[in-house]
Amino acid sequence: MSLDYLWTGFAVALQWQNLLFGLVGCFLGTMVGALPAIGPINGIALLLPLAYTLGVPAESTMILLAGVYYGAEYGGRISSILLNVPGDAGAVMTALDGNPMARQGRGAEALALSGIASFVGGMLSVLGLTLFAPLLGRLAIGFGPAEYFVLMVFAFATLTSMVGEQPIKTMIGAAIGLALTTIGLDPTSGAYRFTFDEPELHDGIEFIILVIGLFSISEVLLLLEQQHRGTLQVLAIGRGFPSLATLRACLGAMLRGTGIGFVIGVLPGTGASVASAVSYTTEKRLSDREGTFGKGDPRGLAAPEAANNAAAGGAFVPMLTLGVPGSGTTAVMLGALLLYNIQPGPQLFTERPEIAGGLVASMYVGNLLLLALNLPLVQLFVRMLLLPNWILLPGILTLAFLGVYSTYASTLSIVIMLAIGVVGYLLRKLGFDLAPVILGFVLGKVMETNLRNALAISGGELGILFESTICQVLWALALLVLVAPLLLRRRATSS
Amino acid sequence: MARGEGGAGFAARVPALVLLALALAYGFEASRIEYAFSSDPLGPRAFPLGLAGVLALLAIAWFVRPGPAEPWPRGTLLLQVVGLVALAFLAAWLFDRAGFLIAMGLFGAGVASMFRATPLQAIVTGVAQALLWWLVFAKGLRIPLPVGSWFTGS
Repeated sequence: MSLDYLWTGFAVALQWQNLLFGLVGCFLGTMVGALPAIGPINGIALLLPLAYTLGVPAESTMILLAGVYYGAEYGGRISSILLNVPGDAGAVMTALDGNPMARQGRGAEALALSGIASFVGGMLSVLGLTLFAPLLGRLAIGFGPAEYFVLMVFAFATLTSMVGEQPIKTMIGAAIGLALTTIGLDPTSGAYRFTFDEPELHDGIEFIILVIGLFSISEVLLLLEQQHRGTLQVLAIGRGFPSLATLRACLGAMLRGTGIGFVIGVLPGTGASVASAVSYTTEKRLSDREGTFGKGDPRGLAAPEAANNAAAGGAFVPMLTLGVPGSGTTAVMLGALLLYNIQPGPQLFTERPEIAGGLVASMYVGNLLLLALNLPLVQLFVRMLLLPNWILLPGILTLAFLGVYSTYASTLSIVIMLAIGVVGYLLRKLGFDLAPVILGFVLGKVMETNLRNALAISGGELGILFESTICQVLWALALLVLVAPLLLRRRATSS
Repeated sequence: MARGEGGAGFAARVPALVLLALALAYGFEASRIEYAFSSDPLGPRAFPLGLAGVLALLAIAWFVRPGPAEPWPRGTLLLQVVGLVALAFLAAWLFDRAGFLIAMGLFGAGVASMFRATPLQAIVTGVAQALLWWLVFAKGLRIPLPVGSWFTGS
């Protein structure tokens, strides 16, 4: 197996400007992860238009955005531990044992241990990404349009069964995202679809406008509602570092968390939040003999922290090799690649090794940087938790305006962004998760194009979607992930 | 009000009906897409038509089992949310008329006061962040920002 792409990648990632982009990304990522007001998707959504407008090369942009992504998985733990409020969705489980540790005066130990667990999960998953991505890529070379179409069906099936407790709403979200991609000019036939003779709609809905509206604007509206819940108290950190015995006791939890996190990360559509939840419950079942989980057991902290970082690495595997994002945040990064006219797929590793390799190599460097940022400099990020929303949010909203305006130079795009933001807010109030919408949106064009290409090959015969072995396996897997949870639930209720 | 349950009233089902109407309208529009020639047998209508069908079925499923949702804001909270949205649209309207600095200064101050800043804190935050972003974008990154058509007379 050839790892040539990785050596090219290191040559790219170690250029000083890319090191700088990586460092900035990791720093900002830890920050957006730590701040409960903004998560990784928001951080990426707000940075992307900036990098794009400034003409930053694609590989540097990806290095920057990836730094934000896995940096946020490090940062999310800080507010989980010290505030009992997860800084991002992947850090919900971290609070269960991390916050009790801080309340017992072991805050510093909890922060250091979770930093180390994040590093273990992050580093091992990049190693997994390095080895698995070319393998999966080689498998994907045998994919034609029919296989790609069925792969997308499989992606939506795993999304439906794994994300959220309300599968119907997950499917509706994905379908809305898909429907949005049909707006604009259809290149195959030259037909204008759903444009209502509006020239502004000829190019369809712009990705940056959609992401910033859906996530940033709706988030601020939700935060406005939540502020009556009162002010939060940041717990004192104290001093201390996990002892060797603690680290040794947590090693198994970290490795299991990494394994679970990586596999769940690779599955299309399921990211850090599912990974950390599965890893915590597994670890509790395996190791909680004295009933100490939930009361400040270091293993209950180490497992989900390793898992959410491993999931972030794993999510890049299908994104880079198949063009199917492994999580909501990688969906936004896929959108970023498409913005640069780069279609990920098996050829990415051979034809554009500076992008695929540069990104992977930068993640090795990034995890080292993050360990350095998160062990000695953790105090700096803790201080940011004290930043009140009235300072933070005006700046974020102005940046949202700026991001859209600087990319499209029209105030109409700002108005569209705000309208999408209101819709996003309504959807979230109705119990929708917005990640499926973005996933549908980045996959929509590819899904339709592949379906139409497949049928063009077969002369309109639908049988081509079931012909090859790969298709049949993918259909079977899609059916399995949809039906298995239902059967498991039925067994759980009957017993 | 507690979280809505499966047996919730009609109000919880209204959004599903709205989605159903949207799905039907989407399907109707899809059936009217005009094209002279397409190099593939499926054409530009089939995918959106299929999607419209899927969306309509999902809307019906949602109508039957609405599932949990968050309670809607009421009273002052509702006014605040509506106020923030109105303020944002006002800022967008002012953006190229009054210029970036004034539009975003006012917007920032308004948002800050909604998030419980004192009037002085709100004004300082609004002006300071607008100036800071203007320096970064217009001066540092040389991205042209609107000066305001009211002042340039164009």
